[in-house]
Parts: sequence; C-alpha cells; structure tokens
Amino acid sequence: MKKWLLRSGTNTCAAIACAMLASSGAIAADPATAPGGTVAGDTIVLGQTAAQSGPQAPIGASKWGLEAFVGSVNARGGVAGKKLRLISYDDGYQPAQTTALDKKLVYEDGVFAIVGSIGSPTTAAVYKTLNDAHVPLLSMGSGSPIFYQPGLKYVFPAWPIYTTDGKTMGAFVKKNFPGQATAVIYQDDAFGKPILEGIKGDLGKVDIEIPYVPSQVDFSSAVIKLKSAGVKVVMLATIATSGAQILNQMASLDYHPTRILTSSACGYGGIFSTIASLEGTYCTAFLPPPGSTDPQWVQFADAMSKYAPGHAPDIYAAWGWLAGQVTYAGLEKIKGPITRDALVAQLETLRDFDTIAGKINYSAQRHEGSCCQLLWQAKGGKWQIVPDSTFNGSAMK
Amino acid sequence: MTQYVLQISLAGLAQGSLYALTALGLVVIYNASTVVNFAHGAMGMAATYVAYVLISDLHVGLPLAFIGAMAAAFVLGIVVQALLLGRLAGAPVLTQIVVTLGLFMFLEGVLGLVFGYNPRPMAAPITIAPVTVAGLVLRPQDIVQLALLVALGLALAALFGATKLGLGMRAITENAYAAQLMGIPIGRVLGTAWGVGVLLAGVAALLAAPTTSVTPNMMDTIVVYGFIAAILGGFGSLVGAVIGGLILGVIVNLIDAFLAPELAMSIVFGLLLLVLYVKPDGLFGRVTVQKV
Repeated sequence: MKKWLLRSGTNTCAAIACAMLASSGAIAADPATAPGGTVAGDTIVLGQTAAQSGPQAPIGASKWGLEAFVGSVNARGGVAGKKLRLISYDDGYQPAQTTALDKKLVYEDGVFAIVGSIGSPTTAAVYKTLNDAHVPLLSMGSGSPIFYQPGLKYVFPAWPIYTTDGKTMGAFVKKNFPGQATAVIYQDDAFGKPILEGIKGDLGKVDIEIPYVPSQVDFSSAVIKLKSAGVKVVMLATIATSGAQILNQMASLDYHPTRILTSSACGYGGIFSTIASLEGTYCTAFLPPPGSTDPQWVQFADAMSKYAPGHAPDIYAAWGWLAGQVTYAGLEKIKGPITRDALVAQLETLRDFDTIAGKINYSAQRHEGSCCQLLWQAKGGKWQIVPDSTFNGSAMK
Repeated sequence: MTQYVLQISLAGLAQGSLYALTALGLVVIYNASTVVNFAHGAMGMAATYVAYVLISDLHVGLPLAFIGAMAAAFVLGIVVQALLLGRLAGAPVLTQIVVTLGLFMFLEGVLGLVFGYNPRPMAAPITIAPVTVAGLVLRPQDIVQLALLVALGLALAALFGATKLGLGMRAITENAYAAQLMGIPIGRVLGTAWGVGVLLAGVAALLAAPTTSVTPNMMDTIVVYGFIAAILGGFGSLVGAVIGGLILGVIVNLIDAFLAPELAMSIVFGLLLLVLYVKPDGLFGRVTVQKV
C-alpha cells in the first residue's frame, strides 16, 4: 500500500509537471505539441504582434494593412475555401511581451501562422521557437539578417534584408556624391547595425559613425559634431521619431547636408508637416510612394478605405498588406488539407510573385523576400521616385 | 576643440533648461503636497496636444495656442489635485505614487488612442534663424528657453518666499492640520501648487515639441532627466532644480559627443549616486529636522 502510494504520488507529480510544462509552452520544441497544424473549421486564424502603444506604435499601423487585406480576401469569398481571421495583439515593441503573446497565439488561440509581426528585437525573441514548433512566421516587419539565415524552414521574410537598405544608400552616395564627407547616425541594435554594415559594404568607408539609443531626445551633440566636421552627406539608419528629431535639430542649427533616411523612418502619414525641412531629403524604399498610381498601391489604398476606415494608407500599413499577400499566395496554391507544412511547401514554389513590394522569390534553399530597393526624394510636399536609383541587391541601375 | 566643446555645452544648456523646467514643476508640487508626481511629463505632454488641436484644427495663432495650452495645463493640475490626490491626502505614499503612475499611463494611452502615435508637428515659438558669433551657432530659441527658465525660477522664488500663497504652501508641507486650523484654505493652495507645477511641465513640453514632435511619449525621457535634476539639486530646492537641470543637460551632451549615447543614462545615474553618497540631500538640499 505504501509502495503504491509512493508510486501513485510520483506519477501524480510527473503528470502535474508535464501539465505545467505544456501550459507554459516549455515543450514547444516538440512540433506535435503546437496545436492548429491543420485547419479543421471554415476559418484560417492568423496571429500577429504589433506595437499599438508606446514610442514604436506608428509602425504598428501594419495591423490595419493586414486587417484590410483579410477584409478584402473575405469579401471575395476567402482563400482555399476558408475565411481568414486575424488576431492581433499589442506587444508594445517589448520582446518579453512578444514571447508571451506568441505563446498565447499558438497555444491558446490556436493560430495557423504568425503573420506580419513587427520589429527586429521582438521577432528575434520568438523566431527560433516558432520555427522549432513548426509554426510559419511570415513576412515579419524586419529586414534583420538573422531571419534570412538558411535552415529556418518556417521563417519567410518578405522585406529586403537591412544590409540591402544600407547598400542602396551607399551605392547612391557613391554614384551621386563621390568624394564628399559622409556620416551615418544609426540605431545601435539589430536594426541599425546591419544598415551601417550595408552602407560601409558599398561605400567603402564612412567618415563619421554616430550610434544612438531609441530613448534619446536630444541629438544636438551629434548634429554639432557633423556640422563642425563639414560632413556633406548624412545617412540616417533610424526609426521614425528619432529621424524626425535629427532633421528638426539640423534645421534649428542651420545645417543643411544631403540627408538620406532609411525606409523605416519615412513611412508615416504626416511626415511632411512634422519635419518642416524635409524637402530634398532622400529615403530608401521598397514600396511605392504613398499616393502612387501603381496598381498595387491603388488596390491597397482602396481596401484600406473599405476595410480599415479611419486609418491612413501609409507605408507602415502597407507592410501589413504585404504580409497578407505573402500568406495568401501560399494558401491559395494548397490542394487538399491545409496544413502548415503544405503552406511552407507552396510558399517555396513562389517565383516572381508580384507583391506591393515588387517581385518575391522563395525556394527550399532560399527564403529571402524582396531583392530590391530604390530611393524616393521629398519634392513639393510628397515623395517622388528618384530615376535610376534601383538597387538590385548588388548594383545600382 | 574648445569651440566644439563650447558649442556642445551651449546646446546642453538649452536642453538642460527643459530638464530644469520639468524639475521645477516637480519640486513645486512636491513642496506643497509632498507628492512625487510620476504623471508630470504626461500632463505636460497633454498640454501640447491642446496647442496642437488649437493650431491644426481650430487655426488659432501660435501665441494664443501656447497660452491656451498653458491654461489647460494649469486647469489639469487643479483638477487632478482636486479629484485624485486631494482625496488621497491621508493615504500611504505608495498609494499616491501608484495613482500618479496610473495617471501617467492613462494619459498616454488615451491620447495615443485619440490622436494615434504618429509624430505631429509643432512650430517653434521663435523662428528667427540662428546667428553665428565667434564661430558659435546661437539659436534664438535656446536663448528664449534659458531666459524663460530664469524668469520662471525667479517668479517661483518670489511666490514661495514673498506671498501668502507661498507661505501657505510651506505651512501645509510642515503640518497640514495646523495649517488648516490657522485658516489656510488647503484645497485652494494645493490646487494652485499643482496648477503651477503642471503649467511648468506644459512649458517644458511646448518648448521641446518643435524638436521631438508631438507624440504621447514625447516627455518620457525628459521627465526622467527632470527627476534626476530635481534629486541632484536636492528635491525641494528651486535653485537646485534649475542648476541640476542645466548641469545635467551639459553632462548628457558631453557624454553623447565624447563617449556614447547609450552610456548617458548609466553615467548620469552613477554620478547621481555619487553625489547622493557625498551629499545625501543633493547639491542644494537642506537637512530637514523635524520636532517630535
């Protein structure tokens, strides 16, 4: 009796331990434990994390682009005979929150895939776990090189890699401003550093490099440093708020170098009124400029007005739309049961797939997303494409 | 090199004036009500949204919009004191802290919900182009900021030292019950103190907004430096808040220029610990002796 009690107690403890591990998601490495691997009902549930509060909330507008995409697909009858549903949580751009919320999305909400989640540090916190759990992570809002490494079967970036962003700037400066003193102000993390590397990779050398932290509000010392050194071309690998502060600071110190922003810094609506001195500034881009007559942009803007009314069709929202396009492209090709592995298999067959970000190619060996970038310039209160500025990943046209 | 250091320090003084204005507001509120207001920056930020709406939606001129925003800040301070902190007068300090923290999050959340988080523009109150004197770029706005800081500092010193209102504030801090028995209208005095304190936060936010743009989070870093400035100067000292803010602005700018921006906060807090170790009441704080 005593032995039975002991054995029974041990078994109970083991069962409790297993239950606790399962509920905490600690055994996520076992793919069998990730629910929702096959779509059973009439709805495919997609999950997303995107900051809706805090300093990074502007880029969380991606949610509305994705909502608009889901709304437009459902209005056309859905995809693969199923409707789409999006569950989007606000992670405040906090990696710890992203981890907890993705666990909730996968293990409680039973989402089929994580789509269009925003941020480099946030996605970096979850991408390996999701890959190990065989949960597709599609078109994250980041071009950080870590997501492009081979062997990540379930991870499908759609943006150009950040080094391409930097190379686009570098190639443009080399072509148009040869011999001029250059500087880069970059965010000192997984977002800014690869852009800096890309710039240096193509330009050869940068005269002054200035790191910053996102919480910084005063950039006067950086601007004074550049002005004192006679720097003529300043490249900014910054987020939107920091970019605006730096450009405003430059104007207040009567410093007017050639300015080139990274695409992440110039995507929000209202940028022209926020930065009075924006005229003439360049910006890297992989999407059509807001207000473009490009059919992809027109389709996106129309859907935004119908399915996400009250939210501007800006670049950040277009990121979400792009994520929707990638997801749809894989889903619509599935014949038979809709499983995560089937989605991955179909995504890997995409060749020259047209998106709002241009053509995307995936294969079993390469999950690299969009290859190319170009430059916009602020002219007359709107962004205009700079002719002959397309960078195809290795050279500028 | 000397000129470069001077230019960096000058810009640091200008930025430091924002920290000092924020710190002054914190000190005014603390001196009167002994409440550390963690919603201080958010309340100042709310005032900039008033200016933004007045300018963008109601097409009010900049000077009038700034006056409107400062009036709104003053009223916000009175309302918060009357409806929240006034009712918690006898509550534990921790409760008051949590209430102001809650208010901070509430204001940022609500304004984020209403206006979104995209940066919104705010014109500079002074649009005169910078002038170069002996190789140094002087921004008129910086000079106005510093002058405003000095003027407001002197006005506050006069308020605390030479008016019945200031006397009332100090009496309430010493002993609220005795002050009430002496006929001091506690509610009105505390309301005024909160109004003035939040007005100062509003001024700091309005001056910062042309550079930071108007966002719900625009004051998050500034208010942290405001707290450091207030503590560095000796929490409770008006002169300390001003000097603390200016010193801090220069130090942070020099760290940004010669070391690395990511070290600024750590070094500043390290220096603060050092100062407090040597002088626990801050640079200008006075040792408080309480009779029991």
